[in-house]
Amino acid sequence: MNLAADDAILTADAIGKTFGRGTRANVAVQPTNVSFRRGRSIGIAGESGSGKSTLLRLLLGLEAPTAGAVRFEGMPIASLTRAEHRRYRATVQAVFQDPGGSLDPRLHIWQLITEPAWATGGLTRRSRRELAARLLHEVDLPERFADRLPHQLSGGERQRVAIARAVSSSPQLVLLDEPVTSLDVSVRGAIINLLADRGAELTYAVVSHDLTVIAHLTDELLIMYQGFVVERGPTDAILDAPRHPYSQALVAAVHDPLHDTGYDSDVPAGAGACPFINRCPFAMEQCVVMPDPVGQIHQVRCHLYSPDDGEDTTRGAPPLGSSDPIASTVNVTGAHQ
Amino acid sequence: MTASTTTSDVPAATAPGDPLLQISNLSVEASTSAGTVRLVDGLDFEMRRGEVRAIVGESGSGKSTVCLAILRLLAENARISSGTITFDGERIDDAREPALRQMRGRKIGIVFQDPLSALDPVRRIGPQLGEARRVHGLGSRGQVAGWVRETLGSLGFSNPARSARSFPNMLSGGMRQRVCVGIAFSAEPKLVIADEPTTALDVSLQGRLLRLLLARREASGTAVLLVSHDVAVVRAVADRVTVMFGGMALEEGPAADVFAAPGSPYTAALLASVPTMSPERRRARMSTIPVATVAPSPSGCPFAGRCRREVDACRQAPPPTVWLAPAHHVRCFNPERQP
Ligand SMILES: Nc1ncnc2c1ncn2[C@@H]1O[C@H](COP(=O)(O)OP(=O)(O)OP(=O)(O)O)[C@@H](O)[C@H]1O
Ligand SMILES: Nc1ncnc2c1ncn2[C@@H]1O[C@H](COP(=O)(O)OP(=O)(O)OP(=O)(O)O)[C@@H](O)[C@H]1O
Ligand code: SF4
Ligand SMILES: [Mg+2]
Ligand SMILES: [Mg+2]
Repeated sequence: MNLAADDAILTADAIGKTFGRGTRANVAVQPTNVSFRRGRSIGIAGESGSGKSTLLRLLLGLEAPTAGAVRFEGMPIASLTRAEHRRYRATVQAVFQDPGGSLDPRLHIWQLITEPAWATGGLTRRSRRELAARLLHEVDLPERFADRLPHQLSGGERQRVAIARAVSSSPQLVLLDEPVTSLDVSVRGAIINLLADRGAELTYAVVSHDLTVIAHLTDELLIMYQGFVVERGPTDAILDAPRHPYSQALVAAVHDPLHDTGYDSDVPAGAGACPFINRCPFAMEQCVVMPDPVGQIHQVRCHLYSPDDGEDTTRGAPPLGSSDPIASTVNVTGAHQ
Repeated sequence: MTASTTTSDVPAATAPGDPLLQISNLSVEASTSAGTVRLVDGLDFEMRRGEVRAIVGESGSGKSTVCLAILRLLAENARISSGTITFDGERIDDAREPALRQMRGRKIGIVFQDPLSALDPVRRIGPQLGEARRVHGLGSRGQVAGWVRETLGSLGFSNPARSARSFPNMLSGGMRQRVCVGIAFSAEPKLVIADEPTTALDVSLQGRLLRLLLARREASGTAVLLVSHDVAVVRAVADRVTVMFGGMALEEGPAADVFAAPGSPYTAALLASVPTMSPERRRARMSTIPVATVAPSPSGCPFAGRCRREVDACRQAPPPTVWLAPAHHVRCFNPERQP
């Protein structure tokens, strides 16, 4: 597909979110631009608490931004008319991080799984049951689950119900917050394949700490750390050659869960500093001021890179020699033994 | 390695080295509108003090049900239909509610699979995290508050004081999950049952949490029953592993042996599905275990229909136990390898 650049489903201009005020203010998301164009799925990875779910909630209009605005068809979502809002709801669907908690415990699975499609209208009760059966089948669940309640399913089964539900009404954009965390590798593979197959009609925003999921489903990747997008660019470029020291640690740890980044620190960064400063093995004097992004297509916010570095995305390791502990363990190509 | 326990609270029958948890022939059934279904079928295993045992297996294979059965927290429509569970020298499969309440939290810490709904939404994090210590008299008010801040710090919270004052909905998914892990260990239990405790964590925090868990085992001999779909995690921390499919433990043995040379065709197929990140595989389809063309027969092996080593017998009777090594067995008619 070759689509015009202005073919955006949803755009966010400098959206940010701060919870609380004064000394208690907590900047969950620093002002960020995101634009979803048809067929260009975006992955979001980053540490726990870095603002990934908050960013999705802003895009869904579940949280009001404290900076910037989310636009649907060019209009800020806060000022959509009723009809526009209904269209926005039908266009954008989501699977939340807590699939158990987001399914109404009193409804049966066949009702839950067809809810968005039912809400958009045009279904008889009979065709609704048929749709339920088909959707269950798509996510490898037996038809007899249709008459169960959510708590009678396992964690991974609920997660699959939530995914089937989100794609059931043919939306254009689906926001997935840790969609496959409770699934074993085989079922996970089946679900990722299903989502990838629908990738021609659907565009995704995928939050996942599992980089293999992001690698499969997304074209562009944002790496977040404490509210900041510290790196963004084509997914492959980042996974092949992560530039930010945090991204490098993230990629390096993929095959080694006990991987000790060796610089865990709980000391919070000072105001205005790079938030990674106290954990970063390369921290320098300049790092007490958060740098601006460097680069166009592949951007990084880190003082190790200067604007004259250009777009050389193949150069992953910071300029520190080959004995650098992180660079030497970056091994995205290493197969599982 | 068997960690020592203070002898005073060890009943005479359980000298160190005796099993802490013993499950034999455990079956769990549930009644549904479509009749009775068997969720767990004839499960056996033992855990020693300080041991880390992992349960891996297919989504829906009964892993959480096993955890809930041990804690006696099965859903209303489900019950233990046969077998015994012995914990710390006492039968708990038929214990009464007051004794069970004593046991939960204090002797057995729990991390539920749905950590996001496990916290009380209207109470602040600090008091919830410190509650078990306060209730069980493990320190004064001030000491507990100090312990809470210290624990939040060690769980990777960059601002422990702020997080302690927060309500659960003000924390991210991974933060809540870490709080739940802290609660599970808070009363210094003998066993922690952790159902998918690292699902919401990025790899660097996950590593930190796992190292913390191993440190607790070293320091106080806490045994851990870890349910995880993450093969890399299990490989890194577990001493022994149980592989479940369709309610049955199809393989049981030392983690290193099971992963190096799986004996059950299901384990082998599961390991073969572990994705790699190699650039040429990234956009390729993920490998999966093909779905069954014919449903397995209820009396046969649950993996029949999807198994590439299936023989005629597999649909006729429950698979027999085959010992591959003194502490490693599979249930299979046609294992990947012979003893
Ligand atoms: N209360 C219940 N009534 C009927 N069936 C149930 C009940 N609870 C669980 N089940 C079924 O029992 C099977 C085992 O569920 P369990 O939650 O133990 O799976 P699990 O191995 O933990 O899976 P997951 O990895 O997806 O969490 C599932 O197929 C589930 O649908
Ligand atoms: N309702 C709220 N009130 C106050 N603070 C909040 C609220 N919701 C989130 N936060 C804070 O915003 C920050 C980002 O949270 P968010 O849930 O977006 O993180 P996340 O990246 O999704 O993390 P995880 O991977 O652990 O789910 C955290 O510091 C969290 O404490
Ligand atoms: S018993 Fe038969 S179907 Fe089951 S795992 Fe063994 S060979 Fe496969
Ligand atoms: Mg989140
Ligand atoms: Mg479970």
